[in-house]
Amino acid sequence: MLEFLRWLLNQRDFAKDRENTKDTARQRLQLVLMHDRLDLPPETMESMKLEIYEVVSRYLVVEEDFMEFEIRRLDELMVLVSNIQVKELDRLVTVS
Amino acid sequence: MKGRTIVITSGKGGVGKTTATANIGTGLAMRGQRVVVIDTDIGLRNLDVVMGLENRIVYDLVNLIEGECKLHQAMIRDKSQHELYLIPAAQTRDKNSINPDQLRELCAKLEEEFDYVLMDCPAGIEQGFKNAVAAAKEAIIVTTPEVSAIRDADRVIGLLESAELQRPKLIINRINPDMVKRGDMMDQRDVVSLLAVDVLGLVPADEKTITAANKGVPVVHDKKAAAGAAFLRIAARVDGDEVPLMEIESKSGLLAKFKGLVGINGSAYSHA
Repeated sequence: MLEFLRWLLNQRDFAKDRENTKDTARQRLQLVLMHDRLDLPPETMESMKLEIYEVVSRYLVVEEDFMEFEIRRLDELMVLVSNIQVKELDRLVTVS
Repeated sequence: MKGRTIVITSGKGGVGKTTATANIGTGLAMRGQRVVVIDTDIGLRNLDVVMGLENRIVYDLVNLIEGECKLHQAMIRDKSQHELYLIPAAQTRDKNSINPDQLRELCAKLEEEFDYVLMDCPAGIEQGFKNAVAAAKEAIIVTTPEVSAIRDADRVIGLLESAELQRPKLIINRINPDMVKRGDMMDQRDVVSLLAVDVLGLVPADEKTITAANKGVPVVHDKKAAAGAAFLRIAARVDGDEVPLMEIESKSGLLAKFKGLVGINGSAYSHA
């Protein structure tokens, strides 16, 4: 009898700890679908990159060849990641 | 007469497109509509076996399109529904044997004669898919509540939107109510919130679907089968009836629970 009670308690604890895999599925899919839908054509990415380069180079002397420019997943967010190498720190473009 | 041409598609293979096509077609014919179902999966013919018509094939879709036979020669009449016809896929050709214009022309001709022209679309998003989508005016997407199927369904929905088809409708197939109850399978709300499309129907996982296919008699003939009843309701909705969606529930009576506890497979589902 005691054994049985212990078993019952274990069952309950097990149920509590156990995650619902459907929530995991839904959350993962949310991100995957967002990424899929956002799949911008390479030309669009390229023109966005050029425009960003233009804006940044108004203020800084930067490498035209972006080291990194991509949309990717960061935990629960979709982020645009861009690393741009600043070429000459001491010679900032004068802001007009 | 001006019939409706509907493509049944999914992206991912193996989610039940062919089963859905056979059952919706049969269901519509049972309601007295004139229906032709076309297997557009050239090279991977299947709709004929699901409908139990594989022994009657003489000519196929490619023969018809290439003018090697007349329209009525390529149409196989169903065994039980006299207003239901199948145009089978060619088995020994590849999907580039036909082009979108040819299929569009054929469907336009069939629309004159039938209330419904249903196309069973091949899996994937290549030429076969493009052919079927180009010829269709409406689309039904079939998915299962699994991550891979839903992801592919979303991709297909995107492609259908750019093909300017009417808002696609969704069938969620093979829902396992026990798993949904346990929180281990996405339910219709989860799927709808992800895909943002209207639901046409919910079909429970049902062994009868498989036994029916074994026999070559679509499960929709068996109104006592949960999946059969679900497909009949789907056919009614396609046909314009307002049939409310029913939740798929497991029979969670004391006996079923007991069976579950002692490990007897009591997977009897009440229907949706």
